[in-house]
Amino acid sequence: MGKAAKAWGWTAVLALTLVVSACQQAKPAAPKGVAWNLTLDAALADAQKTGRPILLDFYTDW
Amino acid sequence: MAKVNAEVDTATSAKYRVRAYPTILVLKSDGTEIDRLLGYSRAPDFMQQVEDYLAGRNTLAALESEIATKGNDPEFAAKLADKYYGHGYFDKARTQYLRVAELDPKNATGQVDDALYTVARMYRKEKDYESARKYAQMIIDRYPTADLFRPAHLEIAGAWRRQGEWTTARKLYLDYAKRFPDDEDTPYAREQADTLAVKIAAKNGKGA
Repeated sequence: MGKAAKAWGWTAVLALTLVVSACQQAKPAAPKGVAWNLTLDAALADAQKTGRPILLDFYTDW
Repeated sequence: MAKVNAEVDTATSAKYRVRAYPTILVLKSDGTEIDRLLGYSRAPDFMQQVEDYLAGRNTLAALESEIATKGNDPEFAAKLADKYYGHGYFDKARTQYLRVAELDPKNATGQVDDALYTVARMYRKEKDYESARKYAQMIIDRYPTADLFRPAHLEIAGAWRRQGEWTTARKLYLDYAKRFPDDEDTPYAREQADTLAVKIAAKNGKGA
């Protein structure tokens, strides 16, 4: 595993940990839940800053 | 993280070839896709899958790198086919599904009827009804004990119906109901036959 790959792995784990802890904290206190970006561009801008991966959810209102 | 209304932001859906909802993509921070999850799954399974993807496991790229060593394994071909299908690479998916049938002619894996059925449905969606019937018929001719033996009959009837051959389709639906009276899909087959009877009568009425 290269240095870059290793760093990537850790970033990913960190990002996931953050997601998980955010969800856990949100449960009792904040019914608002996860703060989703509503456009891909906004998410990409965030990811550029943080270097974290992106979950992109394609949904419909059906 | 982002939520995109796929029906509103069609450009993003098209960019990533998203065809079914919900689809959740796992992207690198530069926006390139690592892989995707289709449909709903239980939270622990979802997390496991995302973790696998982030670690480079179970991704399309990972599977493709195994083609050289596992290319002759029908289970692997089926997995790769499903992956291509989920990613919207339908031609590659079709090739792999047919490879499953080729590698496992006796359907020892139990995956061949699924593979052929998916190929038939893909052709049906492309309105190539003749090819759709061909692959559904292949299931019927080769694998009478397979799970999709009965559904293959309905696929053939459906292909005739969509092609506008209502009389042929109706006969096949009625045959199905007669042959498999206790089948769970028989009420559906009867309903289709009834609907077609009304359509056929209306058409003949107009012509008279």
